[in-house]
Amino acid sequence: MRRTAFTMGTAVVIDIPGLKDDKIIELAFQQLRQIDERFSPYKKTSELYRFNQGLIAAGRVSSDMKAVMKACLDAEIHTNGYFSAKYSGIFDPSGYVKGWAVDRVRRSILDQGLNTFCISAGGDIVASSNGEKTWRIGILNPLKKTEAIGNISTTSLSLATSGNYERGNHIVNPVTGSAPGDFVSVSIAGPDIIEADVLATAVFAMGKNGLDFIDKQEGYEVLAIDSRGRFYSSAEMETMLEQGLTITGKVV
Amino acid sequence: MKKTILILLAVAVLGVLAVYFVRIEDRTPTSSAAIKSGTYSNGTFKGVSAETAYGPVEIKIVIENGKIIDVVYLDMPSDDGRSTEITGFSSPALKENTLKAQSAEIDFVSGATITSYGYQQSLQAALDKASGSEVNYRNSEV
Repeated sequence: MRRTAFTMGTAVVIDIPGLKDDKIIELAFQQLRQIDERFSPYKKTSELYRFNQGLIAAGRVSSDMKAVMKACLDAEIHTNGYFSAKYSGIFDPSGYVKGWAVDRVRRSILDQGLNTFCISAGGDIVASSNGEKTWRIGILNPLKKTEAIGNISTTSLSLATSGNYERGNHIVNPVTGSAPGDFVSVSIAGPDIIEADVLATAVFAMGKNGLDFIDKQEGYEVLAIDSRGRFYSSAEMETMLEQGLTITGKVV
Repeated sequence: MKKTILILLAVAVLGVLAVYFVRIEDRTPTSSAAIKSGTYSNGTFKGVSAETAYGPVEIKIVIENGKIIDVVYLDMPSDDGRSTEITGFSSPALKENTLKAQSAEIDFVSGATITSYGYQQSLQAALDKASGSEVNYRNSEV
């Protein structure tokens, strides 16, 4: 059973093969809407908005907000400042919360005793399987959004893509303050969706220097595409991709 | 240290290919032995030279039993160094994409954030429709 809903400013798709009623999926959507109620940067009633307005003191925020604040700080240190939730003087953890929310839903579905499912939320994908089901995950062509440029067949994988072609320049290089120019799309595959999402954002902001950075992140693989259609792939990502992309190239 | 592979792909040219494939269904096959089978008519088809970001591209496509079995690039840009560089790397990759894309069955697609506003035009929406997903637009927000 596959269902699509709209929350957190994006389309969320959940697929649980063989499911007879949609209760579990509806609960997952409900969970995401609750997260959005707390972390929406736009809704005037959200805890985040009220915190940024100074209506809630830092010491009185919810445990979820505290956890996200700490995680964003950790991510900022880990990425040498290239992932940052500080934006124009306000705290905007949107780049973290999406992956975090998807991971919450993943845990909830697992708690229901289900281990074959796939969750997609605006580019962040978590695929899980008991081994019988193989998920086929495509990576969108950033220069032609109606087609995929490569597929990964997997039983278990997290995949996050960052870019600026859908929402405008929503990522800035925190070091220079300007929009990064090297890539139009950066996809990161690995075991954890939160980490993959953070790394995709950071590598997008880093540009080509990010390829060396990602090389040092154990278990995480990169596919980055520039505006001229050139792409840069780590060796393991190249192995994962079944088609396209992998035919020709040179080692740099 | 793992090696980072640099691969070149003139993805923009794929757009030309897609347009070409739409056109090909309306074309009269050049081969008199061509028979209608599957989506495409059998035969060998030569595409018109199309302007791309990297220069003009002319394509020949061979179809058997309704499947594209070969793509040949007849005229790739070579008037300046940059185009030649891109052509040299992109042709084999493009060919591979074209040949395999028709058998691709994807469950999900990862791209930079799909807004709820942009969802209906997205590849993910097409995949959901193909899989019979129920889409609840009631809570759609821009």
